[in-house]
Amino acid sequence: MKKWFFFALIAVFFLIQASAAASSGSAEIETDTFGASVDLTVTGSIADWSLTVGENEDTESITMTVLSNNAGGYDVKVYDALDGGKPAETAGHLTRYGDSYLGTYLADPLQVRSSGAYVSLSGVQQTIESKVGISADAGDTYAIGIKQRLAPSDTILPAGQSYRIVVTFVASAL
Amino acid sequence: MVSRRSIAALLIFFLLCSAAHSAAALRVTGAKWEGAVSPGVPATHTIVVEPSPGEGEMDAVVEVLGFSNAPDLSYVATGPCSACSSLSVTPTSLHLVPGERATVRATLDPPPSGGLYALISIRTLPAGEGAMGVVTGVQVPVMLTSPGAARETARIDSVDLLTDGAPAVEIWLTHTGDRHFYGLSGAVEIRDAGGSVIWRGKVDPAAHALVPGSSVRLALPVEAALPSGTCMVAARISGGDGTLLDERSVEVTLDEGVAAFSEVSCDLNPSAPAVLSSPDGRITLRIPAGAVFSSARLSLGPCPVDDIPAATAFAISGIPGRLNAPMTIEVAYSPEDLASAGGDPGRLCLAYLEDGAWVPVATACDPARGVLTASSDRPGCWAVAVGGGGLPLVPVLGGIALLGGGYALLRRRR
Repeated sequence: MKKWFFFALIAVFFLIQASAAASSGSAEIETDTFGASVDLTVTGSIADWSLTVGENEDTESITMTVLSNNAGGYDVKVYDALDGGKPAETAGHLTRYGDSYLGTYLADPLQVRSSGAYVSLSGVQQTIESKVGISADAGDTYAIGIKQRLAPSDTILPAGQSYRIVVTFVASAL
Repeated sequence: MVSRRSIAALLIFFLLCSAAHSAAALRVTGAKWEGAVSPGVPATHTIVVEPSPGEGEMDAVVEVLGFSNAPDLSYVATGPCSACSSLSVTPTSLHLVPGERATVRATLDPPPSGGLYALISIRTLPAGEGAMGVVTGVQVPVMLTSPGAARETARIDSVDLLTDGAPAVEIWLTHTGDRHFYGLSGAVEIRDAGGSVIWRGKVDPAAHALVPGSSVRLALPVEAALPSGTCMVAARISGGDGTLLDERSVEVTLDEGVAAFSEVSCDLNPSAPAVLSSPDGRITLRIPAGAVFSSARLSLGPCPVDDIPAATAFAISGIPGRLNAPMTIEVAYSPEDLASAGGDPGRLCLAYLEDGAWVPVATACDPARGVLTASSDRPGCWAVAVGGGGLPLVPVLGGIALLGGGYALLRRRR
């Protein structure tokens, strides 16, 4: 008799516990493991950038933000990945573009910088930013400087054509 | 008739509308795959890719690329790819939708031994037709080692003292082991022919991992003038735990002395202040408005005098006579300067060269920043000197000599 009473008591205890869990609306949250993350955003625009013969620079129109939780830090590199069939010899240069790249290109390469010195864009990745440690909560924001020298010999294009380049920004956890 | 230059000088409009506008922005989680793997036991890694908040739909490609260090230690997707033959990623193209996460699964079937290195590149595709487009990408370093990969070794390939421009020591080295490591550092010591240390410097531990097979360059600007003659340059490289990896000494003969840095200049305008700094940032001149009556070009360069009181000397030139208003001279003293003062920064001061003697001036010392500051209207050679607790030694000594001379003259007249 005592044995049955003891089992009944245990059963009642578990029933009470189960109903309490249900009525309080508690939920178990299980997270998957998370690893190093890197978020790279490049925003802004240089609208109607009128280039004149000589040095042209814009340091206020484009910003880059990196959000990273990698304790070792991150770096950001830039290069011309020759997208859209851009000829190899034009790497880093604004190149004449109609429906496709037409070969002629500005004599001087585009230059890009973040918080350091300008690098002349090429087909090789070059570091423009590097940081040891994690980013700020809202990300680390950098003003990107763009510089283009226009030579007197650079060809003035007919209507319907323009010079074009695609700059690739690559972030990496260290 | 309009000249070609004039035509070119007319505004050439590159309508960079949409340049970098709404650039594709990526968020990648699982941005590094580092760890140990067992031969024959497949390993997997999950990379979550999503558009950054506020971005629209975009397409991206996923590729497995080579992995090595560029000379500056940054990771580059060129060179050998020890993991490529056993590493695969799925899928290799992504269509990313705001609010949704895409998953890339990397699978590795480890070979019997060795380190496995690759970069997994996730890169958006260019969108739009603007004159300047921007693409963003994230490269995921893959750094995996099997139990047999244990050698974190490197050798120094060359040590050079560069004297074109500001002097610097350049060390080229190669990772000769089979396992990457962080914290590569270097140290250099330059001694004169008599064995006295002229300068010591070090490269702080690197943030990038050094990948097997990579050759990299460590460069240390030499923050001291070097005398002519023979000197010994000794270089050491160490791993992240401080283990000595290699060391090498080379004897260098300098036909003439080498200045600590190359000359820089700036234009002075009577109505505007100016700032001129040495290339290494250690020396800064702040010139107030009104310091010159007419436009002039001020230069900051090496002091062509071998006999300097401590380790840092420089020359301010370009101005005939003195400035109309005193400039502020800020100098970050070097460890060698500090050693000259017996380790007491309070004994350091700035001094100018006059008639072959160094004349100390009133100097403020900020030990926290390691900076000496003085005010003067004098161009010419300047140096860090040991002022004996801030006393203007030469004026004091000069005064004593003057008094002594006067006393002797008076006695003679009697």
